[in-house]
Amino acid sequence: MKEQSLLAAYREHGKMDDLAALYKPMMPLVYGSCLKYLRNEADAEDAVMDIFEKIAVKLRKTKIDHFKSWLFIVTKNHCFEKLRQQKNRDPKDLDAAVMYSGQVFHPDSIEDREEKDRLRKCLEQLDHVQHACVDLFYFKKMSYQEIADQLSLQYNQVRSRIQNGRRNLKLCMERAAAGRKVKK
Amino acid sequence: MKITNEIWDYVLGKMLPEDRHMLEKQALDDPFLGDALEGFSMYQKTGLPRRKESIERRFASRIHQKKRTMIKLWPYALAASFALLIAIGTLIRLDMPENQTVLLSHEKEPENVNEEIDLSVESQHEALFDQLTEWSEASNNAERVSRDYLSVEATDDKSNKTSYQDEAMENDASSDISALMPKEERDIALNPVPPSIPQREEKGIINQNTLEPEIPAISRDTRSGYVASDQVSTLVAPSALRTQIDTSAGTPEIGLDKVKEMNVAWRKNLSPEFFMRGIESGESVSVSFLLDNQGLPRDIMISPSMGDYFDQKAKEFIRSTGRWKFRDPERRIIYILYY
Repeated sequence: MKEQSLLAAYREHGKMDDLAALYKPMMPLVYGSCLKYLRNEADAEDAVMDIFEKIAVKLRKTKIDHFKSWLFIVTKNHCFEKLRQQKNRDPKDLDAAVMYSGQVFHPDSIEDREEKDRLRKCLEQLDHVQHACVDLFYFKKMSYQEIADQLSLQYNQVRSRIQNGRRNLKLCMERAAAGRKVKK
Repeated sequence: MKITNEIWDYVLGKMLPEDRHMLEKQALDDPFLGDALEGFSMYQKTGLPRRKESIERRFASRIHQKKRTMIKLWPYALAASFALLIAIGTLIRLDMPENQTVLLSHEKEPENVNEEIDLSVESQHEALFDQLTEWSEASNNAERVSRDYLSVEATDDKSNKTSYQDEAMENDASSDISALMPKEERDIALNPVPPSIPQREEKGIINQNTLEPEIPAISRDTRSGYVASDQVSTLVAPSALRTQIDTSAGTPEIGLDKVKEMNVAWRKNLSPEFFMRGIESGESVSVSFLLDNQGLPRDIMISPSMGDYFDQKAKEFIRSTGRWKFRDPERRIIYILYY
């Protein structure tokens, strides 16, 4: 049954089977996200169950169009609420951690020749490690772990370098495109 | 379900490098997946299979628990609620005496207690003004009666009488109504309520909630000198002492007016010295009694005792009121206050 059908069925009848069919595939996402924010395996496991109870109530009352996106917001809010109760982390750190993954730019998806030239120039402007990580990830199609093994970095260092490199590339290419328009 | 298996395979290292790369690339556009992979990467892979198993077991348990609760328990809960309601109703009915049930079933509105109830603000003000005027008139009458008694029994003690009136005027000099009266009447009206009443309330001798008349429900009968509220009747005649009858628990079958007449009658036969002693000492006397299952007064208590003679007369008077109708089956105590 499709996502929307399950949502409608659960909202109407409140059957746990419908909700379980929706939530179970998302549990690894919920658990992994809670691990990231709560930084405690037991707390994250409890959060998976608490969030299930929370959405079981909310989905009876609210019509949801995009379940996965909505669940992501519910998960984050639940984790932040828990952290506020525990007061063991600075909310500013949390915001920074959440911010990084909001970009949509993939260097390997560029088709235009002019853009490829700009990309090459911008890649040269990245620092050595960022350049290597982006190159290995996007153009050599290597996984984080493989890159980490090859460059003797931690897994999270690779992920962070790729994120930062991708952001810097995007900014660089936007500046280059703006400069070319001015010259024309 | 595909993404679930992919994530677990990814975090458990069971995925091919090409597939890992594809999932990581997907995570760059999917913040939920990105956060999840980042979260998994922060912990050792060795504990993850156990965690995965624990989460899935708890989830399955939760789903089945919900099913059991929703499908099997609610009819029992509903049935138990009905049974409890029936049991409570039966207990209440068994606890109520048979004759009391009969009385309640035939109970009518008290005939004379609540003659007129008007809750509008204007009516309340009017009632309050009328009450004050009435108290003044009643006190005037009461004072005349007291003077008559004194002229017979206490003619040699005129200085005491004057002393009492002066004291009353000092204590209640702020009365607005008194300013409209001739001086002779004003001296009397200035003390519609004996000055020692607040002091008695502080001592906690009387329950003000049940005995004090409430303004919104005041009705009046100027001829008899009574001020009646919803549940309390106040008598201001024919002596300087006043009477309050708390009828919140029951009303006399012979009618409240008849009881008021009887109250005046039995007190007229008492020695006026008693009344003066009551006025000057500032004490109130509470006569309380319990209504038995027949609605008849019993366990009559006079507190504080004003002597055997008074107490005996008070008991005779209470017994002569006959049967009382229950107003509130839970409260069977009637209070009559003399002050």
